This record gives sequence, C-alpha cells and structure tokens, in this order.
Amino acid sequence: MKKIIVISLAVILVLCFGAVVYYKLSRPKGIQVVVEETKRAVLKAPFVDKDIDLTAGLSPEIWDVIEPTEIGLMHQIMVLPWGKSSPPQITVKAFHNRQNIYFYMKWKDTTEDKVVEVNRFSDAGAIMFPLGEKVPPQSIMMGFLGRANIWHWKASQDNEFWAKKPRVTKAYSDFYYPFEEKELFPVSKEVPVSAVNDLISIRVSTVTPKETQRVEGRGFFEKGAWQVVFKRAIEPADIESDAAFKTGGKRLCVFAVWNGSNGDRGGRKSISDWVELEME
Amino acid sequence: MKNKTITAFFIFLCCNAFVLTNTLFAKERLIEVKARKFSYTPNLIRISKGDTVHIRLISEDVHHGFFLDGYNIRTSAHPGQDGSLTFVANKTGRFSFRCSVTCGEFHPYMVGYLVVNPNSRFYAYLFLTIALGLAGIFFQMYKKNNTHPAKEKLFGLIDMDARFELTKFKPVRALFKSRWFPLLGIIINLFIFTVILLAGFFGGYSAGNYNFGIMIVWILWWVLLMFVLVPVLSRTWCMVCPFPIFSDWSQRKMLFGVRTGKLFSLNFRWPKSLKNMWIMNIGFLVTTFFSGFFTVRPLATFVLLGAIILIAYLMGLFFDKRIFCLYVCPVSGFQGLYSQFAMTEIRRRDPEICKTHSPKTCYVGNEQGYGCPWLVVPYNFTKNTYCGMCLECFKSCPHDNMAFNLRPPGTDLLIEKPRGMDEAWKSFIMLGVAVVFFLTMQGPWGVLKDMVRATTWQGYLSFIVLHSTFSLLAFPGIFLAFSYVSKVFSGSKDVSLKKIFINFSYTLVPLGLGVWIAFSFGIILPNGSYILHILSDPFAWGWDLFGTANFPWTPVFTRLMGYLQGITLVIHYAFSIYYGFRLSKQTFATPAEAKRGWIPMFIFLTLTTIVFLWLYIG
Repeated sequence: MKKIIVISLAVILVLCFGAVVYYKLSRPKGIQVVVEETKRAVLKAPFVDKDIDLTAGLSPEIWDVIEPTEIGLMHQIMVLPWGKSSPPQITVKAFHNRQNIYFYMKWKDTTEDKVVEVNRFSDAGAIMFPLGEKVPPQSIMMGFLGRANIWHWKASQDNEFWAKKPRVTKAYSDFYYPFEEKELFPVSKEVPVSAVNDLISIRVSTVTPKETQRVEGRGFFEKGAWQVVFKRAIEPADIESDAAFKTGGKRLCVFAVWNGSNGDRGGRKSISDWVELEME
Repeated sequence: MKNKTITAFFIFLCCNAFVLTNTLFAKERLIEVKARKFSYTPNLIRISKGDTVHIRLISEDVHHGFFLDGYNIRTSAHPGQDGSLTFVANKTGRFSFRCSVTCGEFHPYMVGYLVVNPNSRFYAYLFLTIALGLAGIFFQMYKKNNTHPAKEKLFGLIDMDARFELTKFKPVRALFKSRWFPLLGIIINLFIFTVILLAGFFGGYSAGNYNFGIMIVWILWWVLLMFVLVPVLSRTWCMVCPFPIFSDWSQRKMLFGVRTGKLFSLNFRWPKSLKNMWIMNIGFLVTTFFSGFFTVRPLATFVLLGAIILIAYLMGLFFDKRIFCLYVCPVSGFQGLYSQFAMTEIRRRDPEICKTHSPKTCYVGNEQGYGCPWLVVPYNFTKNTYCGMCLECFKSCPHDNMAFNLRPPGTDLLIEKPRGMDEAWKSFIMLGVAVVFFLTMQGPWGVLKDMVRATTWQGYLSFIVLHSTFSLLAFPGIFLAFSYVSKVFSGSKDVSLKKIFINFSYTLVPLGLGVWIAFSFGIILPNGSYILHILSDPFAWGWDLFGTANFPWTPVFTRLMGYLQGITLVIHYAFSIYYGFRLSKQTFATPAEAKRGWIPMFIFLTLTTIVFLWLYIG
C-alpha cells in the first residue's frame, strides 16, 4: 500500500469533514427554542396638520377623529411592592404634525387623586420609550433592562402646574444631608416646570429627571376617567437621552398607570407590554 | 453527679431532636424566585420542615418553569407575568427545582436547590459512611488474617477466585463464536449512530433536549455506560462500538468473513512511549472543555462524533489493528480503568492448553478469526483494561479455551502488574471531571454555567484553567500529600512514594465509578422522558413515529434521587475501603506497616466520599 495514497486519502477525508462542518457552521440553522411570541398592540400615529395648545385644554375635537388602541395592563411584579388592585384597561391615541408628537391616554378610575399627603398618593400615567437597539423581549418594568426615556405625568404635579395649587402638606422631611451644599433628592422641589417629568432610567432604581424638561402634558378627570395628553417636539434635543421619532418609522413604547387611592406609587403600578408605535 | 450529667445530656439531645423535627416552629414563607437563562435567584433556598411555602416565580427573559423534585409540583412564568405555587414542606432533604419549559440550550441544566431542614437524608448517609468506615477499619486493624490479598473473600463472603463461566452454555458459546456476533450489534449501532449524526447535523443549533443525537448519546448512552455496561459487562460497549468499524473493514477488505494475510494499512508501529493511557487522559480532559457545547448543541455532538470516527479511520490507515481504540479513543480510557471493577471478564480457561498450543492463534489469527485486534495476548492477560471484548479470540481458538466469566466485582484491582501513573491520573481526571460536570450541569450556580458555555472568553478560559488545575494538579496533589503521610505512618523505608501513590490510586476506581453512577441518576431521572419525544421525531421534522412525539416532560422518581445517589456512594465507598486495605497489604512489606500506612488513605477516601455526599445531597 503506497504512502501517497493513504496520505492523499487522509487529507481528502479531513478536508471533506472540515468542509461539512464549515458549511453547517456558516448556516446556523436548526430548530430554535420555541419562545411563544405575544402579539404586540399597534398604536398608529397619523399625520394631522393641527397643533394643541394645552393651556386651552386637550382639544377633544382632534382626538375624537383619531383611531384608538385598547391596551391591557398588568401589575408590575419585578420588584416589591406589587400592585393591590385590578389593573385597568387603557385607551391610547397618538398623532404628529411633523413638529410635535402627541399622545393621549384615557383610563377609568373611581377616585380623583391629585393631592399628595401623608399616606395619600397621586394618580399618574406614564409612557416609556426604550433607548438603543437592545430591547428585552418583554417590557417587564420601566427601565428594567436598559436605558429608557420616561414621560411621567402626575395628577398632583398637574394640579400644581396648571391649577397653581401648592401642595397641601407642610410636613416635609429634611432632604438635605448634613455637609451637603445642595439638595440631593428632587422630591421637595417646589416649582414644577411641567405637569410631566421627563425622566431617564438605565436600570431599577435609577429613574432620574433630565436636566432639560421638554415634555408638556395635561390631564383632566371627568366622568370617572382620566384623560391625559403628552406633547413633545419630534426632534430630540439629546439623542442619548431623548426618545427619537421618525416619520414613517416604528418604535416601541410602554404605558403605565398609577391608582393613588389604591396605594400605587413608585414601582407599584400597572404596566403594559410593548406597544408598537407606527408613525405615518 | 454522673447520673445528673447523663440526664442533662439526654435532655439536651431530646430538646435538639424536638426543635429539629417538630413542626410547631413552622412558618409561612413567601419566596420570590427570579428565573433567567439558566439559573434562579435565589438559587439555594433553605426552609424548615412544616413551613408553608409560597413560591412566586418571575421570569426576567423568556418563559421559564419551576418543577420541584420530590414534591412533584410545578408552575411557570412568562416574562412580565408571575407563576405561583404553594406547598407544605413535609419532606426533608435537599430537592432540586428545575426549569420545566424549554428555555434555551442549557435548559436541562437550569437548576436550583431547596433544602428542607433538617436535611436528615444527608446526615443519615453521613452517619452511615462514617459508621461503615469505622467498622471497616476496626475490622481490618484487629482481625488476624495472613492470607494473600488476592485470595481473600470479598467482604468475607465471596471467594475472590470464584468464577461462573457463562460460555459453558452451548448457545452462548455458539453465539460468541459466530462471526455475526458482535457484528450484528455493531451494524445496529451503526444505524443508530447514523441517525444520531444526521440529527446532529440537521439539528444544528436546536435545544439539545429535543434532539435525537444529544438525548441518545449524552442521556441514554452515557447513563447505560455508567449503570450497566462498564460496571457489569466490562467493555461491552467496545464490543459493539461502531466507531472503528470503517477502519476494520478497510484494513481487512472484508465486511464479514476472515481474510488472512497482511492488513490493508501502512502498519506503522505505535511508539513505545505512547503505549499507555496518557493520550486518552489528555484527550478526555480536553473533550470535557467543550462539555458546555456538545452536551447541548446538536452540531457540536456531530463534530465530536464525526471527528472520532474520522480519526479512528485515519489511524487505521497508518497503524495496525485498533491502535486508536487502545491508545487514543477518549471513551476507551475510562472504560478500561473502570472495567477493572466489572463483574465480568474474558479470560483463558485452562492455562495448560495455552502453554502447549502453538501457534497462538488468538494472537496471530487463523481462518476462523483475526488475531487480537487490541494487540493483547488473550492466552495470558490478567486485567480487563485493554481487552475490547471483540470476541475474535473465541473464534480463533481451536480448543474453545476462552471463557466469559461472571466474577466478584473489582478483582482486577488486586492484579499488581501492569499498574502505572497513566491509570492513576485517569482516576484523578475522572473524579475531577465528575466534580466539574456536577457543578456545571446539576449545580445551581449560573455563573459556572455561563463559564462552561463560553458566554465570555474570560469566563471560558477561567473554566479551562480551573478544571485542568483541579483535575491534573490539585486533586492528585492532595492525594500525593496523603500518600506521603501514609509512607511516614507506615514507617517503611523500602517502599517508594511512587509505589504508594500508584497502588492506592486504584482505590479510586470503585469510588469513582460510584460517583459517576450517582451523577448519572441526576441526568436520566429528570431528563429521560425527552427520549420518548425524540424517538418519535428524531430529526424534529414533525414526525410522530411511535405516537410519543407530544409526550410531555415528565421527571421520573426524582423524589428518590437523593436516596439512590447516597446509597450508590456508600456502597462504592465500602468497596474502596475493602480494596484499599488489600492494596495496602500489597504495597507494604509487613502487615503492621500496611495497617499503619492504610490509615491516612482510609481518611482520604472517607473525606472524598463525604465531599461527594455533600455535593450530591448535602
């Protein structure tokens, strides 16, 4: 038996095997793990050549003609405390006029909670927009697994900003740590610049107000339901921390609602799954 | 005064027993368990007997499940939603909770531990081990017995020379002499492994628990190997192994019959320095570096098995006979080592016949059978280690002087030659691999799973370094230290440390096999039911050949797992200390030296057993 034949055969076999393995590695097919995909709700934001002046109200005549999307909520359960009451269903709408983008939220609530006192909490609503491309498969909770821009409307803040009613309670804690020159926590700020807090979060317990507050908003409680409108310029001022919107594009968002009379505050809230926002 | 002390001590014991076992101290416990690929947080939950436990399961990425061994209860949670279950902890011991929803490639190994205190099962086995050990060493130290170790009775019950020849039955001998046997078994296996390779190739990146290749190779075959094939039937797997068959056919230029003359090969000589287990040792260790891939990724299994078949064939082209099986195959090494403990053997019947028989057809072959493909001398070998049970010697022996015997387990351990460092290190590597496999596959530590499946290069390289250091250096180093103490204790100046080290390393054969059998319970009982699925749908093409394609994941007897693992370890520990003392008597010149020298090694074996008990059920 000739060496050359054996060596040639060996080389050919090794190359063939290598080629088969390379072929398969370069085509990463296989029966992937079946992850049940939940069907995401779609929120369409049509172009409407109108503007809303929030000082005059929510402009219901504009919202009445925009197609609503019904979204189910669930309790936030990633961190304690968990919710106590049944999560509500919310109706959301959106439109843009190439300058600004508007969101409308409506949900039922038996009580109007817009005063914060000891053991009294405010009703609130929020929209979260994930920043960056790596988005977890489910919303889970606001800013849980990555950077997010959150627009947080609070009835109590709305009351202060629009109705110019100061906080009722005078029992403040001392939020100044000894030896610190300025206040570290924003909870005792006196004069809100908007009814909506424009926030950024990178993970649990990192919700922080942005330096520039660009989101406006206003809410009204009527016939056992809250109606809230958010407004912001489409163009982001800071692409690192502002949600970006692109006409004709899609992006994800999440809605959340707090029921103050049920003790909702902070992480105790009801939250939706991802909603696909389609800007027309 | 003495009575008062005894009474006080008795009351103290009663109070302790009351506190440990009484459910009056039971609490209501709410435990939030977060699941994320492929671990739980917390991964270790400790509760007390009688506690009412509410588990709230939360998933942080994909749909995960929670199945609690022993209690057989389960829940699951989608991301953003929770799953819950409530139970009363009325069974004590350590129970694994495991993911019940296929969540990714490492899903079968997503495990956490729930310890219901008092862990009486662990303490019972701990007590049993220590009691058995003390009784054993007491008996060994004080019983006068001057018979040769190889002539003693196993546990004083079974004569070590006792053999029961299975081939004395004519149908069995006829079967062994037939050329169809074991060829038919090889061909059946070849078909099965062809399906395995195809499933591995087409399965690609699928989840391993739903892949024919992964399930048959790493769940069924590996477990059969450890449960039955090696401890009972020696190297029966080698008898029917399909990997070298292409090389055999190529060398012989025959599919079935016997062809005399030179084999079709370059017939290079295998280097003398490599005629040992070192290549197999390193090959096996290196193979385990990829355990995080080939035990879960079908394509990785395809690459591994394909490479083994290819190397076996290529080596057959260059070297004579089954050099690959003898000195290279990573599976062959540990079978050779542990087959010394097997309950069966192939040996000559009557040495006198072999003495006068010439030529030695069992070695050189004749028209009826090939000369031993494993290059051992069937007329004279004494250990199972290098006998691949190909049965050619049964066919080529004109005097029917070969026998397949039942025997007391472990008799080969007392065969003094050949023993070597290569086999010693094989023992260490096998135990080291068992520890690493257990920690990564059946342990609750997600960080280790991430390391072994190479989520980061840093973690993966750390795993390789730690694994190699532990198996090749740390564990043998500890054993060397005990060997040194043994030499010092014995007072012997004539026996070398090397001899002590090598001889006592064979005590790790029964224990190592027990460790692997116990490990295998943790593989087959929770995951065995996947086999029913893949039998019906081997390529995941939606087939339902036997109507079992939709059989749900069903853990079997997992409530007994801890008991089975514990008793397996204790039984094999008993064999280890039995053979250990005999090995000591072989090692040292006088019985007194042997007794003194045995004590440190006995302590080592007892501690090793306790460590594994703690690891498995503690």
